[in-house]
Amino acid sequence: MSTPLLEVRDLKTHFHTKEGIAKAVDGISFEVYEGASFGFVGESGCGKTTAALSIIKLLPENGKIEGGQVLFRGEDLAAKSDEEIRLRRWKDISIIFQGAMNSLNPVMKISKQITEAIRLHEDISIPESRKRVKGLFTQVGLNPALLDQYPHEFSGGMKQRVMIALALACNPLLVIGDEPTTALDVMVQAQILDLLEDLRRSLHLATILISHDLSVIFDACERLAVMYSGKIVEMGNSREVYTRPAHPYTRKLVAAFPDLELEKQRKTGKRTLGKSIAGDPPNPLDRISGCKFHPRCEWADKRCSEEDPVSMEIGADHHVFCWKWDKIG
Amino acid sequence: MLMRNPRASQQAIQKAKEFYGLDQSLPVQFGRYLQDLLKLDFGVSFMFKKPVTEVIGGKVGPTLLLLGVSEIMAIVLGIYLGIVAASHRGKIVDIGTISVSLLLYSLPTFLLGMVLILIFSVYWGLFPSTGMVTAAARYATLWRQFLDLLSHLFLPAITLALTLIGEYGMLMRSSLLEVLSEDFIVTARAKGLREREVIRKHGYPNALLPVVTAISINLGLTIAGAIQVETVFSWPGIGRLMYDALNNRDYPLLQGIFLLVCICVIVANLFSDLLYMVLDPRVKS
Amino acid sequence: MPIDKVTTFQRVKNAFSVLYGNKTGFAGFLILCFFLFIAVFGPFIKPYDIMDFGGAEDILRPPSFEHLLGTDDMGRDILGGLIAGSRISLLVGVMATVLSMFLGAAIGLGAGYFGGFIDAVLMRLTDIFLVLPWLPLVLVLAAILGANLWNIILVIGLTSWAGTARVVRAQTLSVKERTYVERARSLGSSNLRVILRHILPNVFPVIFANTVLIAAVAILSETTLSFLGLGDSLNQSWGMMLHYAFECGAASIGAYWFLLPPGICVVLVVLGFTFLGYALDEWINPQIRKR
Repeated sequence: MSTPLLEVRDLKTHFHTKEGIAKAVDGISFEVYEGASFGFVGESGCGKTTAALSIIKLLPENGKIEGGQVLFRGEDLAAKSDEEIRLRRWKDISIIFQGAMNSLNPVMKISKQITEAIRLHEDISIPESRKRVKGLFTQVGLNPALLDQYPHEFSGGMKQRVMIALALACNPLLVIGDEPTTALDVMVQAQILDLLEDLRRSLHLATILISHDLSVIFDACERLAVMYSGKIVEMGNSREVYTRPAHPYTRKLVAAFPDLELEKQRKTGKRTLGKSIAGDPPNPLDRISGCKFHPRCEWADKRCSEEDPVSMEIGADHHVFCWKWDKIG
Repeated sequence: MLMRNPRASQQAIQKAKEFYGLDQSLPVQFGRYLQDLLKLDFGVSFMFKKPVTEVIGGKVGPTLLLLGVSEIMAIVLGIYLGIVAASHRGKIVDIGTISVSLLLYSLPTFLLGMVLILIFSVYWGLFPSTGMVTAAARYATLWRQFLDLLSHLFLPAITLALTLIGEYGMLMRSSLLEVLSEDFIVTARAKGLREREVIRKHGYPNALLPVVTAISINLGLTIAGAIQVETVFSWPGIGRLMYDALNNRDYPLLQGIFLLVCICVIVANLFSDLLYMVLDPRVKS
Repeated sequence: MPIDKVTTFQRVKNAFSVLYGNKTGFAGFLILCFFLFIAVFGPFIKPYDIMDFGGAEDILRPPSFEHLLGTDDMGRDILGGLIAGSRISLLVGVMATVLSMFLGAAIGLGAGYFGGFIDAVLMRLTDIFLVLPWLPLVLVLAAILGANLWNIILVIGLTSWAGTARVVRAQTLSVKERTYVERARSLGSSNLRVILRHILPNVFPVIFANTVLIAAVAILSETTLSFLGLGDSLNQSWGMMLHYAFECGAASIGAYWFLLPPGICVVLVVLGFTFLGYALDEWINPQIRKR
């Protein structure tokens, strides 16, 4: 394989709160190749959104990248100044938020919100940029005549399509989707995921999808990383990880997830509940020594509570961060 | 009492009663009053012995001037203050703004006026303390006359404006802070806009919406303030007129002013509702 | 009709509470205790007679050993007047507030509990009182009824209940939905019983916090009314002192000792109620923590 489009090495992002430092992302490394789809999956609060936002340094005031590198086409974005990053945003890397929520300015026309992004990075006239918006609308399956409407006049699914159109406005190389289908109903979810996949192929985009919903990630991403409490616990090809989960946490996730016939489920929109995982995710402010998962792990031993697991290669494009992965029944 | 002549003869009293319609029963008087209202006849003032409409008419101008100037000052300064406080949240400027707003809220307007007179008029002699124009003064040019008006206008306008600045400042501050925590602000930053531009283009338009409604909501407070300010500074407007009518128990005049004020408030509320509908695309008629 | 929004009062309160917390609440409480003490015991410590006019040379004298705060336009001691006035100002403020509280609570509870037509009528009434500019309304009423202590209390109470009514109604509506209320009703309790036993206890904290804040407004209202000439000349509140100060042109003369003491007292008492009210409100509504 060629050099990756995005290579993240040992990224650490911390939040400085009144109660102490919260290590939201505590040393993660991963690669995303050109035109490939990558996914992050994990419970709420595991740091997946923070990791994504760290790539373009879109952190709140008390958040800071404390270490590591974010190599985009060879350049370390983490080392760049805010001003330098600002110029790269949207042009190289764009991001899709949950459009169904309040991610669009309610008092500004959609067309203006998109042309604003275009004209920020390209020297192009307003009529020209509007033409491009119409083209984008068609690409995402929206009626181009609606471009001068306001966000509240669109349904949840349509707003998400708008967010996608917005994300594509400057022809980026990488698109990050932060919970792009949460808050949408299942049928619309499927449509949006299909749309993203089509666009990825036709535009040769790299995508990073983030979700707490396993069905979405396993289905839509070629490769994925499972995150827990700021760390990656397992990473690799989706099929591989899904059929042969190595980490205890991943195993439980897959077991909790009703696995039969993902396709059929998507079509009928029905899902049954499996077993849940005992315990609660740890507070990012707490310091847990060794493997972060060991308090909830039934196979944990002394080493697990003392030493932080390192990456172990267990297959072609399959890594796990666990001392006991091969000892688990 | 009306006639101020304790020794008026019975005949004269009877005549006065007839003139003012006080010899009729109450329901009849009320009915007559409503009838007259429809004809836009507000009755005759006891004090001035002239129709109420005439008396009020002459005093509307100065009040409008005072209200207009004060509101504009309060809006501009209040919004600016709110923005500054929000941008420096938690720091001295912010704490200062909140504390001062609280103080202004607890201060009766007339007291503020009198204190300002003490400071600026008596001790520093910068501004006149009463009236709208210097009595019986002639000026060489229109410009000089204008300056004279301004010097008289300054203290009353500042007093009234200060009452409102606290309101608008706090409103803008919390509105802006709320807006800046919304998701679409993150989207705007992600697009690559400078922080300044994010706040200017996406923050302010959303934050200003509640301020628009606040102006008409506050009309009651503004009027209360205007009455006090006009009284303290002897500004020849409706507020002062109301004070005089009050002290002389001039009921027709009092009622007339009251009705006028109520109508104005209702109209202003309607107007601001309409304005809000225009500004906020989410609100449909 | 009006678009629903957080009032500025609440914004100042929220901002303030986040910054200062309960320390100011306690400070407010202390201030009020101080003035209560003055009001109750003051006249015994320093007796004051309204009729104690001074001679011509005693008029408007600045502070001195004899008269710690100077004399007014009739030669009377200002400090004495201040102490005596505290009784009146506080009395009027508190009683008007109590009246306002009862009216507001009754209307709010009735509207929220009964709903339907009664709710609609009561809410329209509340809206009217919210929209009408309060000072002109109060002036007209006071002018008609005459200027004495009880009328002022009545007038302020009759015009300031609307805010309380709204808040109480909202709280009643939320409490009404709770299951034990439904149960009580299905068991056949009379309406009055349900209101008094189940709803009122849950609404009361909100009423109380609101009331303390209304007290601040009531004191301000009384002061303003007295200043404008509607005070009781036989029972002189701080507002009346300010009225006389104005009438004799104290400001223009520079007689700050006539002007500032009553003014500062009013501001302190209002701040006291306001701080206390904010703290109570925060304590009672921990969920409502906006900026």
